[in-house]
Amino acid sequence: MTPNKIFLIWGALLSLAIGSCLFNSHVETEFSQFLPRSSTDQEQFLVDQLRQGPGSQIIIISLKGNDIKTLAKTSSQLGKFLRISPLFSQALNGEKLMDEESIDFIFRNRYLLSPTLNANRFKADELYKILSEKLISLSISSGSLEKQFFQRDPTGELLSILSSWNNKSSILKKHGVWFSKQLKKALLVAEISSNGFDLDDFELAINYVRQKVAEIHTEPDIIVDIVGPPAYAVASRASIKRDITTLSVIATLLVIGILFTAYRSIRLILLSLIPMGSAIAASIALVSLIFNGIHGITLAFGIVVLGVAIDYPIHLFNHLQTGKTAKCSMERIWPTMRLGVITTILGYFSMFFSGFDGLIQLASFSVIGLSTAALVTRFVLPLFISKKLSFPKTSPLIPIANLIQNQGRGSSIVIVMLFLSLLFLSFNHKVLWENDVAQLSPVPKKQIELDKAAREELNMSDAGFVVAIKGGNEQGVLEMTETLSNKFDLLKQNGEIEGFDSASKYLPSMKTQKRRLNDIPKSADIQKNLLLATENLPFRPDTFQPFVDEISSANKSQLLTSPNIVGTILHTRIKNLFFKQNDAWYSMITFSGLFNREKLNREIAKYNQQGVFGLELRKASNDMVIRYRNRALLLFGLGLIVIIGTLRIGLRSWLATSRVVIPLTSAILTAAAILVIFGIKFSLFHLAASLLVLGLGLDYALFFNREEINPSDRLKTCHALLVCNLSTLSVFGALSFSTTPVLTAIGLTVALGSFLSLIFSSIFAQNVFMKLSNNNSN
Amino acid sequence: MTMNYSFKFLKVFFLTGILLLPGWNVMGQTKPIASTKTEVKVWSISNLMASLSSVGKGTAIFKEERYISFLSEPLISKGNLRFQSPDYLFKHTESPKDERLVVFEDEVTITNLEKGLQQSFSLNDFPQLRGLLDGIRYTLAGNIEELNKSYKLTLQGSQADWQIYLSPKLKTMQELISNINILGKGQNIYKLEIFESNGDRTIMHIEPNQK
Repeated sequence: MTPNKIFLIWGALLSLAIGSCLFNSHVETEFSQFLPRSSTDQEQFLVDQLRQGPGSQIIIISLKGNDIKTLAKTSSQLGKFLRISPLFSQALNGEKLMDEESIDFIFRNRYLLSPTLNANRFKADELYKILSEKLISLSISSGSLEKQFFQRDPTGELLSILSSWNNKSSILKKHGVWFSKQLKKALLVAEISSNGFDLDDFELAINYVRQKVAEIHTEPDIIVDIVGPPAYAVASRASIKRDITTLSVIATLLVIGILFTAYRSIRLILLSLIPMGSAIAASIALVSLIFNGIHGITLAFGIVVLGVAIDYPIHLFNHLQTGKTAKCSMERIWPTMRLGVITTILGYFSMFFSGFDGLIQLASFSVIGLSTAALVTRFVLPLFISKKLSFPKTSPLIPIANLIQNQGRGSSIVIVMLFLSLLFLSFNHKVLWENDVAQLSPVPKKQIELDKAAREELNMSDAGFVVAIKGGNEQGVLEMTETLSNKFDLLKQNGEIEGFDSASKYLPSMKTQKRRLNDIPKSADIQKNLLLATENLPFRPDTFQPFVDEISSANKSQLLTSPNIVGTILHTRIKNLFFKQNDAWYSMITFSGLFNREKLNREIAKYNQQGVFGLELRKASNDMVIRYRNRALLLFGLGLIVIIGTLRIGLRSWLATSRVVIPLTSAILTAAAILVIFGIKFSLFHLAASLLVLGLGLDYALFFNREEINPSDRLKTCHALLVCNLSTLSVFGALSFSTTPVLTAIGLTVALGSFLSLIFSSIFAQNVFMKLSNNNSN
Repeated sequence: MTMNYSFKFLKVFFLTGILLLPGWNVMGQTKPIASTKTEVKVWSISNLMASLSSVGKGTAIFKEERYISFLSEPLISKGNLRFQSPDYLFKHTESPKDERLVVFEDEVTITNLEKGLQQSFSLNDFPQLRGLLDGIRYTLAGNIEELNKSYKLTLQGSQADWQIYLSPKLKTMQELISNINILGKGQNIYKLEIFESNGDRTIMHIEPNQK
């Protein structure tokens, strides 16, 4: 193929890729792709709960920094704004929890909803009892609220319903709104309306809260704290963005500095960007095409991975020779580079089986990018380089390169380190891994404590334990929920449970609704019973006519089901507790305060066959992390075997293969041991980072073990590797200063791992090489 | 327990006039006031207000009769009251059932010890209830300026036995309350009557606390 043709093809493909990046790709922020695909019911449920379960869209807003009155006023006005804003589906602050429309709805449906309605309710002696009590209530202040509805609802079914709903009983109120126990903070709870865990929705909603507070109270002395999963997600995205921006500027400057020190040529620096730029454009374009969009995390992490692609042109530059074409130099190093690229790509292949859609996307991104970078370096880059360019002998890095070239002794050190690290790691295998999901979250510990404190003040369950009911049809699941709720009510009366919330409180099954309607006597019977009951009570005749009229028509009420309560207060109350997902209905019972787990488990166990299961969210998600990590480890191991096999094929000897694999393994294990000594625990992020180290290290080891034509060639290789490693150290060293634990983990692991890979490969390769030449000379 | 009060609910609340309580005179305050001694000449609303405002606080016992349209006889409750100028009211009902109601600044708190329940809400959200309570609180405190804002005031009788009638100026108030009448002798209030627009009424008899 002529250079012109290559140029043309590359140019066309690149413009196509850039064009499609500009016009065809959109960046997703929905988080769920980075949650694993689940294999069991419970896991599926858990993943969905993490994504959109109760709590995942709830924020707790606290206002502090002013006097109680001002805070209360601000809370009250903020509540009003949030309740009418489409950004929020609910906003509670202790006042007027229900609008008139909702009260009307409940009142109209009271005979379907009332938990106190039973066959005895309207018998004469029961009516006498109720009405006598009502007379007392009516004579004191608080009973006055019953007066308005008394003639229509003398048995007080409306109040029964409202009191059964109320479970935020012990929150402190001042001036009508919720306050923390020391009266320092006014508290609001709001639910963001979002389909799924969408960070953009969250950010809009959170900014809206801050903006409204600033409008309500124009002086900046009120401090707004917002906690809850949406708040952390947004905050950590912002800090990741901030980190990436700052750190990437620093890293870029460092890399440019290193390249300039080494090559003294702006032209070379610009040329080194060609493979990387082409790789990024190709990856974005193809991933967007394949996955119908690209995830923000893939994009950020993927570009970090492709930063490694700068190594390819560096190798080329170092092997340029005056008077020979770049194409010629390229052809000389290509077999080594090719093997490095192929084995690195094989490492990323293990991600394809990880079960995370997000990781699969990331693997695709890396594989596409690395192969593009290698191909562009191989076929396109030489076209830009004239014969005159060559590796300058003036690089101040040459003495250091000499140093790694001349490492004579010490191959035993690499092997000793390998066994020492292995020993150390297996000795500490119990403390190696971070199994607590909470520790993995990018949320700072202080935030987690704030969140816990706020939840305690508000008596909210921390979603640590839920009882879930799964079933094929709505009514079956509702009935099971009722059965369990009744059991739990008994436990509550015995003090075994402090409080719980379930869908059946708000939406009774049709069976129960029908039973309630059947329990209502005929109108003539009610009238007879009323006469008997009120014989000795001071009610005027006809007092109860409105009641008799309404209750007689109650059996014409349409039964309430989830489709026909959409848009009503009932729907708002149950939507997080009762929902349909993938053709199955789920109902959840959540707990607040203390509860006796043993008793609960015993109750649940009886219904295991009927789709009831208890879910310890924290433990279950921890278990899931462990399982996925073990799977990742296994895949990592399998990938390693495939890589070794490929190396054997490429290098044509087990001895040569071991020269590559042993220092690399030793470097990764030593890096791991050092991290453990510094008290760091491993997570999936470290595993992903060690894939990167593997890729870099393979490259180093392969080049160190290249058969060179002459010593100057050897020095060139060493210089190239030194420059590669220094730029990697700059990028990942900078990353390890990030405030986000995930980025720090990746940064530290890669920086340390790649540095050790370089040193160990140099020691090991050189040593073996020298031994071999000694043997030869003997 | 925080009930989910609707606005309507509260409306009711206030309607019944439950809250009502107020005034009674200050017990124990027997010292005559200088001004009353000297200017006996004209008995006016300002004189009454000045005289009431000089009292400032007091405790009393009450007996309340509540007349409701659908009942053939009034509901009776008893207990004691406390007022502290300018805006603290405490109504402790002892019979037929224990209940404590505190109105302080713009906040109302009702405690039912028997059920261990406490509910509180802000008068800001219930302007009509605020109107009613303010009518009573401002009378007790002798704050004529504030009273004039929401009520038309009519005074009858003499200093020794006077009646002041408060009729709401605002339409929203008129929908609920037709009149509040406060009856007193000198600095002592002995009767409070609240007439609701629907015909129900609450009559509260007040006498100085003997304790």
